[in-house]
Amino acid sequence: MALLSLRGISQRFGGLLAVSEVSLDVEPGSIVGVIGPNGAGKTTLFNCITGVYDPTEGEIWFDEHRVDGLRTSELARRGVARTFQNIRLFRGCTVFDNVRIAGHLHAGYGLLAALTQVPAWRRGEQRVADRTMALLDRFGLAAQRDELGTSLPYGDQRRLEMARALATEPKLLLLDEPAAGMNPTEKVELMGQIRRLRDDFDLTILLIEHDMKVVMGICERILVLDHGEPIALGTPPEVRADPAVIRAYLGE
Amino acid sequence: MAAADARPQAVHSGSIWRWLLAVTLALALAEPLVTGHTSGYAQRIIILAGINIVLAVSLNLVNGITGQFSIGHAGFMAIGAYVSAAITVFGGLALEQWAASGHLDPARPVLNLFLVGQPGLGVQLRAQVWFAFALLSGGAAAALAGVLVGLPTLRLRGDYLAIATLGFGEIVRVILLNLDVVGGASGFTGTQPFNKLPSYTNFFNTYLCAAVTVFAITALGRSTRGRALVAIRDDEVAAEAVGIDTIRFKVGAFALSAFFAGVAGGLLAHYLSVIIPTPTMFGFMRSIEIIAMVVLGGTGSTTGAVLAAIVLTVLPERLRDLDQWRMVLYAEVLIVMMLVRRQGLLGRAELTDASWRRLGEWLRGGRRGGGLKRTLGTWRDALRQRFFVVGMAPLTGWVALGLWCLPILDLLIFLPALGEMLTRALNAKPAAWLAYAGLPPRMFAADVVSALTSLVPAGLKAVPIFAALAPQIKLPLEANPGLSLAVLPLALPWAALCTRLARGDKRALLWLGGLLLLATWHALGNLAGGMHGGRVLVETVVALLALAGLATQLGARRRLPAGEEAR
Ligand SMILES: Nc1ncnc2c1ncn2[C@@H]1O[C@H](COP(=O)(O)OP(=O)(O)O)[C@@H](O)[C@H]1O
Ligand SMILES: [Mg+2]
Repeated sequence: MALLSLRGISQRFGGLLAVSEVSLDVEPGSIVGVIGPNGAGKTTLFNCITGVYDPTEGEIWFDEHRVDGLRTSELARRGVARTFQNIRLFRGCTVFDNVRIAGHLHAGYGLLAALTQVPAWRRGEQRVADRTMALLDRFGLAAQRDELGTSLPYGDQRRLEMARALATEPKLLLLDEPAAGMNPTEKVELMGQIRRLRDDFDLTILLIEHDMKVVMGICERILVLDHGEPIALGTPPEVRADPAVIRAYLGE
Repeated sequence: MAAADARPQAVHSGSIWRWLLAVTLALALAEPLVTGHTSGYAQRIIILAGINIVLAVSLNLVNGITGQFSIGHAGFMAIGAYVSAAITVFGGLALEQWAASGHLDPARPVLNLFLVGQPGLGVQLRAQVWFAFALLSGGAAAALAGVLVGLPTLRLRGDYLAIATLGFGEIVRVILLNLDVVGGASGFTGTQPFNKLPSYTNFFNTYLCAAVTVFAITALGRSTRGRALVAIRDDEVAAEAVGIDTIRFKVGAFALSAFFAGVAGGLLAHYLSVIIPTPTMFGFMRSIEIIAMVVLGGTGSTTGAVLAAIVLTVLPERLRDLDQWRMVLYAEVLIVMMLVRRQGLLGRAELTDASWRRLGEWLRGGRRGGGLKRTLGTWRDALRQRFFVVGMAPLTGWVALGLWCLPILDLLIFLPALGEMLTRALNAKPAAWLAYAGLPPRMFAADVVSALTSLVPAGLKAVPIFAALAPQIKLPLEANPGLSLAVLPLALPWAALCTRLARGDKRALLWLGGLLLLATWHALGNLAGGMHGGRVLVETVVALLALAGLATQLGARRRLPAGEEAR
């Protein structure tokens, strides 16, 4: 049974069909790439999956429940986490707090405990703090934990966003162009890291990337979008050989 | 990473309770000192400061910590005041009568606590229990209103939210104005002559409420929920993406904040023993006062709000004999802060032991701080940039510059007044130059504004259709020269300028500050012609704001999809 299943998703903005009839099954534990040129509708597809938009048509099933139309926060609660193409850190929060905030789902104490600061509060806070530190360690950000998140170098900000997404303990992680702004060797290195993340955290990953070559190595399957249309879906070799893909990438 | 980093973030246990206990003891010890050794006037200021602390700290929860710009705090306060007053006035009496008529058994322990007239426990203590119940009910009613206001305003942000909450506050006031059970426009003093609104508020319970407010909000800030509010302020889209239900949290923040405002209202009601739904007590003016405290202290800083509440209670009280200048003080706070330090004095920081060390470091130009000299330099540069409004068309530029001169000019006039006030506070004789510098230019500036604004109705009268319409729609063309429409020509360019200089709530603050200044000046200029103009004028300004808000709302109908930003 697929963890995530898109059934004929379309998203229309006025006259523009940003995503058109996309269907996709994502098996648990797999890494699926979504590629396509700028403006192909990749981010829009992510926004549909995370409940930012209620898709104009189609159904989304996650973990055997229909989820289209649910709020983003509800989806996050159920295990869908994401990063943003244009990094969206909590401005004015430290590196530590950026991740700690996202750990709120697993603190295990209520409002009353918070206001009265009973032991349940202290234990919950300690648990969240410990897990936050573990994540920061994992992403090599522990030393910068008291700095402002937005003051980090670009690459660290991207990693911080990933750490933040993981703090919600997701089943499905959506990465929107995590390799943006990196050079080819850095990109390859990042892909290795993403694969290890999948293994260590039992994740299923959906990954947007611009550059087909980069994702060939780690994705089990690749979905190619062009002008919102799914023009190819298959294993990397299949996609690479697909005439429609070659036309979209090399044509014009 | 270094092993030292592995577990550095130890969570300290509930020190808050120890603090609360310590504060309660300290208050109990201080009570006789305060009530025994200070004048009634000083006590009044001390108690009002305590109430203002509750108001500022609770508003800071919504405006500072959650980043939702609300200016209807006085509305919640009014609800709390009237509900709690109604409970102590009607409830106490009803319960007493009910018990006397034999329907209730006065011996029942819980009930017994509320029967003020019964023997047994001290009358004072019973009164306080009853009062606590009234305060909590007032708070709860206000919290309910907070939910009701919070829900529909969730879609709004920045100045739109400001206008909507302002409208709410005014609606509450107008309803109270027409509610005859609680006295309507003449105010509520209880049911004369036997059952007056009791004065239960004292130093101890005021500051206990203040302490509880500060502690509750501090505790909240140290929990996942408080941090969720900060996340909403910092990036709403990202907050949703990590599972924070922004709707629930925003409404929750509104409700909690309203609760404390309601309690503060109850305290005020049982201090003054008379409550009147005037703008200064429960309306727009009061909201502005509280906003000014939050803005001055630092949006997001609880300790900042406490300090600012104290400062902005004591200063205007000292300005009492320059009564109309109170509002100028608030306007100045808003404008100057928006000009030079938008995040408020403390910004988001809290004043803790470590802050003093850092202050020392900063002054010396140490690690993080720019040093006093460098900071002054950046302020100067910022001012320079904002004065010579860069990139505007020449005419707008000049208008803008002219408008900027208003608050600056006003500040120049205001400073001597401040000097006067300080010397008076020190019981010194005002220096001759202060007395001289203070008065004439003040009147002069007021005259100029008044003359300017008075021109407009005259001009309108020259247009036949306005002259004809005036009696029908009660355009105050003659009776009150320079009412509603008069502020318009000055208010509109000011608003336009604010639009260019700042966005969202910063814009709203600039806007409010400017209008307030104009209104006050105008009222001062009208001094000779009777002060009543001032109040009407302020109400008109509120109406104008609401209108402008409505217009912008209509203009903003084209709704952006929520995901526009989620890329
Ligand atoms: N909220 C929106 N309103 C209108 N058009 C949008 C919106 N979001 C995206 N689009 C349009 O949809 C198309 C796909 O955008 P996007 O999903 O961001 O592309 P990609 O991520 O593949 O580069 C673009 O033409 C974009 O302008
Ligand atoms: Mg994109």
